[in-house]
Amino acid sequence: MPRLLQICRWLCCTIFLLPISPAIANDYAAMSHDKPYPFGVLNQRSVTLTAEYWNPILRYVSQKSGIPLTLRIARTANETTDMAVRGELAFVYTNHLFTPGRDKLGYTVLARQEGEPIQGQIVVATNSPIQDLAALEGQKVAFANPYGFVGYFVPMDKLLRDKVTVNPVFMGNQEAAIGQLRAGRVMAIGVNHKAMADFARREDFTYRVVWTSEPYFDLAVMAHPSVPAKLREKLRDAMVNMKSDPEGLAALTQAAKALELPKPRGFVAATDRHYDNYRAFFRHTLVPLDNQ
Amino acid sequence: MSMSAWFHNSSLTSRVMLALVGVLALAVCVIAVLASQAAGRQINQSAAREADLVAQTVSQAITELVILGDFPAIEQHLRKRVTQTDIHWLRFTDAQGQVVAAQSPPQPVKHPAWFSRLLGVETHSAASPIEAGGAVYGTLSVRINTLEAESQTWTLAVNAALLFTLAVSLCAMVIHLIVRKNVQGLMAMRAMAEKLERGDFAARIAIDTVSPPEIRETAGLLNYAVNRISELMAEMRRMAFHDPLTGLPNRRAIEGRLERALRLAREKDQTHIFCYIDLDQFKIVNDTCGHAAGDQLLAQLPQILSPLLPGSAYLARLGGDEFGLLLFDTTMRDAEAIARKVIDAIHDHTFIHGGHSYQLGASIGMTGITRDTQNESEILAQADMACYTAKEAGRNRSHVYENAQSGVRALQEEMEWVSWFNEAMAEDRLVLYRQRIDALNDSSGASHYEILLRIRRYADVIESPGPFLAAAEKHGLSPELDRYVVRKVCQWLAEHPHDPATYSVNLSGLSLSDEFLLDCILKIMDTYQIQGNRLSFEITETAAVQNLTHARRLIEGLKARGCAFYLDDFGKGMASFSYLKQLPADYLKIDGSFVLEMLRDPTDYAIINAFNQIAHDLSRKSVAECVENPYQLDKLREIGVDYVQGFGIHRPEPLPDLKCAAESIAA
Repeated sequence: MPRLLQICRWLCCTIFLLPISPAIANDYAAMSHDKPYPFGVLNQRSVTLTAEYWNPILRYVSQKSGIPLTLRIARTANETTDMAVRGELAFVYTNHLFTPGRDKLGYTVLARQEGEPIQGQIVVATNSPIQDLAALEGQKVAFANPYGFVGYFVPMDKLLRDKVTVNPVFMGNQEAAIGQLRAGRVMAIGVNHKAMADFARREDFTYRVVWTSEPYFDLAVMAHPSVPAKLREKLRDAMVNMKSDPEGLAALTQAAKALELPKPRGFVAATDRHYDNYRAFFRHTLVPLDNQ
Repeated sequence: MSMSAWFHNSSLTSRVMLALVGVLALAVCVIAVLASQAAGRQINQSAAREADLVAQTVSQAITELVILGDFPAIEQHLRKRVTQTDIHWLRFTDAQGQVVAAQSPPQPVKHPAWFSRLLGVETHSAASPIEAGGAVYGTLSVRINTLEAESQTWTLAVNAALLFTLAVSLCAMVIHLIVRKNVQGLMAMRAMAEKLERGDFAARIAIDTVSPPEIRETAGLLNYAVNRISELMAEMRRMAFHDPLTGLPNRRAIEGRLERALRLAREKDQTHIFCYIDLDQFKIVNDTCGHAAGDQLLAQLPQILSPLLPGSAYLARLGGDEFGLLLFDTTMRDAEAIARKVIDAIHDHTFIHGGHSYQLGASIGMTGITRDTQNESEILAQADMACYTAKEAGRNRSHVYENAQSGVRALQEEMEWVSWFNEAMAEDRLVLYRQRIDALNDSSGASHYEILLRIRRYADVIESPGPFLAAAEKHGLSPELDRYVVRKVCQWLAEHPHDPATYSVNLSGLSLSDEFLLDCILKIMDTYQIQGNRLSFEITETAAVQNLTHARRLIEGLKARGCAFYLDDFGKGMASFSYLKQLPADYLKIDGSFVLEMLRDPTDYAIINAFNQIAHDLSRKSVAECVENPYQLDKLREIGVDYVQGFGIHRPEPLPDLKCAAESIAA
């Protein structure tokens, strides 16, 4: 039965992808020889910082794998995701494609950045009277944006499941939301636990975690279904072995320097299975997905 | 006008201002060029920095857009940036060669092209690569527009030029004031020189304290020099118009006063009187006491006359013993009264010299100056003629000039004789006659002749020389006439070396005062090799007395040569025995007027007898003139007169064989 369901899923995907396949095919037809493959990156930082981080990596991977890559990035995360949805990207580093609607596009996971999984948290100031989620009823709770997974969907889903109605405010990015909490303008924030910890350590800010979600792997490097398997493997191998290669390590070090990271972060191999909890979450979340 | 001519004629102030303004202009031009080049370098440096800065900032600004590949946004951004005035154009070229560019709209050029060349502004471009993480997305190029900076510099330069013009104008004004102030002394000198040129010797330089010391010192020296020149000119003027002996104005001065009197007479219808004063007997003082005494006497006259004259009277010395007196705005009656006072005062004045006292007289000729008077010469001539008339009338009197007076007619005749004199001398119209002088008691047979002069004004008409001789004596022609006669007689004697007679020649009074006459006669005698015993001379008693010193020297000189001397017309003048004693004459010619009346007037007979006795007592021979008949001859023989002469003895005859005029007469 599961096998049947899997077949049906594939069929549905195939049927769904048929109308857009010519466009993708056209893209790759043009790119396959002369033009590099577009490698999209979800906006987590400014466009320039994103480019400074990813360009050394992509240059190394292109050289190592023989797959010419070019960084593609849009103004916003949504626009970048839209580019992926429109099939304009051969590869994409994202976690926005696990919603039921986008999961059907057929992007497959090739690798992910090494490191601990991320968790969503609802935190308050250390001296806050808030002791549990119920106390947030009717309070202003800040989020980075309405698209972040652990930064919005996960904590908001928790609040909705606990039937705690809050007044959400979006501050643009994680640290802006943390700044609102620090300034006392909001009672609590929904935030990526790693971003929260980095900020607290850097700014010597103490906080209290009211709730923490289950762990989720960070963003995945995914390939468009039209990308040949051989290329996918080449790309995966280049990325996974990057840290062990001095040249790759140098590229990672250069990238880490752009973000002022304490140490370079390499890539590890990953599969769709490692991101099933994403898919499960989206299937059952109470947060409206707006046809995503 | 050429530049050099302009510079040559320009004033000192203009030259200094030209030099200073020229130096200023040159300095400012050099500064302007250097400043322009410095400004150009500044613009170039600024533009270069601006280009780099713009390239960097714009590239940073569009990096995100470039990464996004948002070309329309890039173009929009570039267009927005090029609106800045200093950016000429911006151009982004991506890795694939695609170009997005924006250019600033054309700007109006506010400055001339040569100014840009002067500034030396270059084209300034810069390029900045756009990369992220080692990936080069393209290049941003920029060109900086320096037009605005050039225009600002041009505006600055124009303003500086205007300010410079204003500054130079102000500077020129200040320099002009300073230089003008400094050369004010020179201008004052020039003004004074112009006044001096116009004859204004009262002009002086006002020495200010602003002028430089050297100009003040020069001005002071010039003032001193002009003072000295003025003093010298005043002295020269005084000397030119004053007689140094008497201190009175001289002839030139009174001529100016006569001119003024004549002008006043014409303009105001006034009558002025001019008096011509001639001293009588002054010659006696001068000859007997010497010129120093004469000068002393003349110097006393202003003191004698001045108290008598009204304040407006103008007394001047005309020369010699002649004075002029101009009486302004008066009547002839008042003038005659003043003249009378003058005559009396001179007559009453006794001049004492060398223990002797002398009395003078004065004759005054007067004439009126009215609007009808012609000129100054006429005034002087009329007064002179009137004075002559006064003298002729007996001296010590005044005479008013009248147009129809006989004296004037006589004078006019004299002037005719004078004018004829030169003609006669040139054409040899003077004829020599001789009249024998017979000895009454001499049996030696020696004969004597007196040379007589006749004139021939018209052909075949021989005239007596009386008026001619008088005019010659009065107008100073006698010496020349005497020399003429002496030369003619000597020439005749030389041509007749065997003639045994002695010939006597008359010498005029004026010749006696001719100090060169003696030498002249001796020279003539030497020329014709005439022995002294063949020639004798006659001088009148009056002339001898008036020229006593010269007469004595002449007589002695000629007697030393062997010539005899006759004292002519004795008794007609002073008949001074004292003078007779001093004159070494050989013969005493008793004046003919006594001989003519001796038969009727016993006094004349007695006088002749006395004169004859005196002559013999003084070892002189006596000669009686004008003997016309045997009765007179008998009486003279009775008295014992040595020689006789007259028509009764021998009628004058032309000198035999005398060439020229004498021959024509004989023919």
